[in-house]
Amino acid sequence: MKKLNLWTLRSNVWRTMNDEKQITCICCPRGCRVTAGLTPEFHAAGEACQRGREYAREELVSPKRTVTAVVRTDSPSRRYAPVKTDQPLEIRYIDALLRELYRVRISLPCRLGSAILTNVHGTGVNVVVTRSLSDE
Amino acid sequence: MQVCEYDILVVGAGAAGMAVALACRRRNLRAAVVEREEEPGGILLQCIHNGFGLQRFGEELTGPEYAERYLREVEGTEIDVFCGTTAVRLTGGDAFRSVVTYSAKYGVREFRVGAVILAVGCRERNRGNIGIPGTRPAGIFTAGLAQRLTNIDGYIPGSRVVIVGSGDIGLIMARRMTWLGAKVLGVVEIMPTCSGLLRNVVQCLEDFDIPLYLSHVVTRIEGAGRVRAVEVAPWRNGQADSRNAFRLECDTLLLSVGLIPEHELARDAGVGISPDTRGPFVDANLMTNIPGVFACGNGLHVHDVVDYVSEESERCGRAAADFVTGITDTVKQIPLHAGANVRYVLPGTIAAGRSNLLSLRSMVECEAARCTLHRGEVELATKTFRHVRPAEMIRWNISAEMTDDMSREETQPLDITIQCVADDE
Ligand SMILES: Cc1cc2nc3c(=O)[nH]c(=O)nc-3n(C[C@H](O)[C@H](O)[C@H](O)COP(=O)(O)OP(=O)(O)OC[C@H]3O[C@@H](n4cnc5c(N)ncnc54)[C@H](O)[C@@H]3O)c2cc1C
Ligand code: SF4
Repeated sequence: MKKLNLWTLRSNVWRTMNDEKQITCICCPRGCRVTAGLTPEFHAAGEACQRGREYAREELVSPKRTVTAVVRTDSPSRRYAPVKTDQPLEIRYIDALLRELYRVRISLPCRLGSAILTNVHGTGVNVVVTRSLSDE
Repeated sequence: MQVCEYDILVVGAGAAGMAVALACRRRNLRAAVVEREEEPGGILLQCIHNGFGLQRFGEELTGPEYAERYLREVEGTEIDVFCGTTAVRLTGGDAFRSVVTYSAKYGVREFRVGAVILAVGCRERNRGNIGIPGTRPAGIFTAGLAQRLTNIDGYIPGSRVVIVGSGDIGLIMARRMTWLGAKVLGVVEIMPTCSGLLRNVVQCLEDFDIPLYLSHVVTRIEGAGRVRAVEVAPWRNGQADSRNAFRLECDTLLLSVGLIPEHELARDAGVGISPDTRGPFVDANLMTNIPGVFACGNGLHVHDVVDYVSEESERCGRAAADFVTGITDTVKQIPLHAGANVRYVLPGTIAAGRSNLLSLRSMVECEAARCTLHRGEVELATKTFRHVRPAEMIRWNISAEMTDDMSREETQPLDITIQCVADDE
């Protein structure tokens, strides 16, 4: 473990010239700091296992996150309903999605799991309600 | 005063209360739940982010989704849930348990029951608990209050935010505020390590380049009507290094500086409160020193994940059901104390001849740590855990075989210790 850390440290010094990124692997509590880049081809250093390598590749090629938010309802008493993306969404679409959600209004009652937006930016990701609410 | 009679009364309808009531109902007991808020669900309802239920359901749910699974189950049973009802007084002795409740709808009631289960959750520490000097302007919130404002009521607490404390709620709120269009200037943590989960550090701070100031403190709050800025200084050798202090201009300060079990109801009834967990002392059946009064969930000790709250509460429900149905527990219980490097261990006793699931918190951080159960000089059991941190609870199941011969020996107290070991051990 000690050796690996040293190696990461040393390699960071000369590699930060490229397109490289420091990525913290979150696949297990060990939390390796992985330095990875895509040019000329995918390479990574600092990860202690294959899972971390795959994670780093995904984080460089198309990082994704699950987005959660609330949307306005048409009810005066239950004004907001919680929602989420049903799969992780590419990070570059998140801002646009949040702006869109800000404008959405849904009517009550709503059921947990029902979609309020479908196929966000052609990604196949939908936004669904995460709580059943009725207007009482 | 109206008198209601039940086998079991559960105080609090959060994750713990719902799980414990369901466990009692499965034993065909008549159970009632009282909840202070207008609806059941507890803190989960405001935790709209995902990450709940991985251990329990094998999938990632949001807080409201996790709550709804339990709520549906409760609705399908004959458990009576009284919302908008606050338990204000608990009394109990060898042969009786009584809880007085207030509510706008039902008035004052007395529940006379076979067992009371306290599933009251926790509350947040606030500025008073950490003592930041300066003015008292508007714009200072606990992180959980801010979470409720944004996620239930739809208000945005401010536009330039500094967060004090690196607990998970603060980290989650850093992302939430950023997604709401606010600028989060940093998270200030007095300890040299982050107390939140790694995943939250990455996805709530690193994703947005939010600085995490470890070993730093907020030394002053400025502003007359509203927060205008805070002063942050490095924390060295137990004091703030004011020469290297800097200012962050902000209009909002969120405090995420820890949670404390709600213990007033229990304390006023004469239940012993642990200075370490700040919740009630309980034995191996999760029963307090008042017979028939049990505790579980965040009202017992603060849990990291809800899955463990549900599991613990089910266990508590079974024990309470045994108590009410008169299954007398003749198992010998041996006192258990926290030893070196252990901040607390729960429960406070080990039941001989049975398997015992212990929850403990470490005072040290290490890649690998050995937990040992001793009786005096004798090592009774030992196990190595990986990635031990004060912020993550350790759960250790002591098997029935290990505790078997305890029932024969005299009841000298046990203690549990944690020791860091080399990584490759
Ligand atoms: C802000 C926050 C964020 C969290 N985020 C995560 C996460 O991301 N992932 C995860 O797994 N876990 C998370 N947790 C932990 C987990 O959600 C909680 O541990 C769990 O939901 C607690 O359940 P509980 O039933 O013990 O408490 P609560 O949900 O707090 O329920 C207690 C209930 O008791 C009621 N009550 C209290 N006193 C009385 C009284 N005198 N009379 C009547 N009713 C009363 C309260 O109104 C409340 O509804 C989070 C916890 C908090 C506080
Ligand atoms: S690289 Fe492997 S060992 Fe390191 S954090 Fe990721 S999953 Fe864990």
